Amino acid sequence: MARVLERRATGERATGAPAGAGGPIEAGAVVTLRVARFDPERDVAMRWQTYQVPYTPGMTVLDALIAVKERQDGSLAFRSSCRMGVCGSCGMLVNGKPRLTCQTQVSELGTHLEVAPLPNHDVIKDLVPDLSGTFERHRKVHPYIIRPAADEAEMRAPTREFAQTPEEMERYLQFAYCLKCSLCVAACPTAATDPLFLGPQALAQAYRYIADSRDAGWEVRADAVDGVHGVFSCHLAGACSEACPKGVDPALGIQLLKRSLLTGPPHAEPAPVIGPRPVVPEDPARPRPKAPPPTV
Amino acid sequence: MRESKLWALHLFSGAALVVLLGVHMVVQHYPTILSWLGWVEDDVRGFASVAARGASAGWSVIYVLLLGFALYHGLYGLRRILHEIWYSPAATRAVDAAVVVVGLVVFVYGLVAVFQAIPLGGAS
Ligand code: SF4
Ligand code: FES
Repeated sequence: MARVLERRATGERATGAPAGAGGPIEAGAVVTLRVARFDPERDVAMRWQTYQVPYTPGMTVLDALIAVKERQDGSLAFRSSCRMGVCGSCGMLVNGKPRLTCQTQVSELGTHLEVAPLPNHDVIKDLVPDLSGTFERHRKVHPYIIRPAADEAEMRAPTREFAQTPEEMERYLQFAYCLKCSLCVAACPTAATDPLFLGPQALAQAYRYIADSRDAGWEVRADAVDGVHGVFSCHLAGACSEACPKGVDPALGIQLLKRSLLTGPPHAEPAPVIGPRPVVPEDPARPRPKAPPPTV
Repeated sequence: MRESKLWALHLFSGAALVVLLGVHMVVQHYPTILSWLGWVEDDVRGFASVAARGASAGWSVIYVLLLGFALYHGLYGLRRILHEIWYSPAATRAVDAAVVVVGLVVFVYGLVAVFQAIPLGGAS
């Protein structure tokens, strides 16, 4: 446990780092990056290292880090993939706020940047947070549609659709945009003190599924979130919603989840399957369709 | 018990405290409001008044409710804070047990104090 705590990023800032100011930056300007470094094989604590890179128009914080890695220090570790705000892997604490670095323009923040790993997560190396805790908590809320036992055959080999009106879809749609980037967890003051707290990401996803008219998993999810470190640990600071790069409002999801636990599930019966069962002529050579495994 | 039930009781006790503490504040500290309500008493905090209230069944019920709701509300809040600081399963169980024991002991002590006041008021 001691080792884990040593590695937990707290959002500590470098002393005396200029905050920097956003606005147009002239071509040819130099961007100064103070970057948190931590090598678990050598370091006992986080240290800061400064780099300078030439500014280019349209440069993102991720571009600046890539420039450092390519031309100055190949040992700098950070994580990214899509570079377009979709995969959720490039979250870091930039000038004191959790942000997706591929979506953050240097010009928004000025030429002085301070980049650290996401707080409230263990650090694997340098700017790479360990997101496995977020994914584990996400799994605990059963993040997939659960159908009544009578529909098991239909779920295994789907032949028809489940009814859902546009209004019913609206009830959960915004929560379905979650990337699992964990910025909300990094911003959450409760997650900072209680590492067992389910956290805004998982709780908002619990609501996303119980609000889905096709779902019948109310009981198992209520069991998962209605405990000591569950939804009632939220202090309603709202920092999660402010941090979310996708416009998800996890604080709203958490409040709606609390209401559901007090007043009952958002819908009594899950939506039925609709449409006539298609008559497919029996063809022994035709392979049977297989349902994909639930995505988590 | 599920946390939602404990939390709902926390909300309910908070609302009940607003009413009960309101009654307490008006009776003990705002004689002007009391006089608007047609209740004129010379010295509401004098021994005779306090003893008379202590002897009354209605006031005893109010005191017991005030004691129970205030204890529950305060201890539930304290428990939530302690769970956030000491989050291991063993610490969670220890905090829960301590809160129940402290709550029961103080509640029983309070009950004894309330019911001891009845003969006191009755004798005056
Ligand atoms: S709710 Fe927003 S901030 Fe939190 S993990 Fe999902 S996308 Fe990221
Ligand atoms: S690299 Fe995929 S979201 Fe930033």
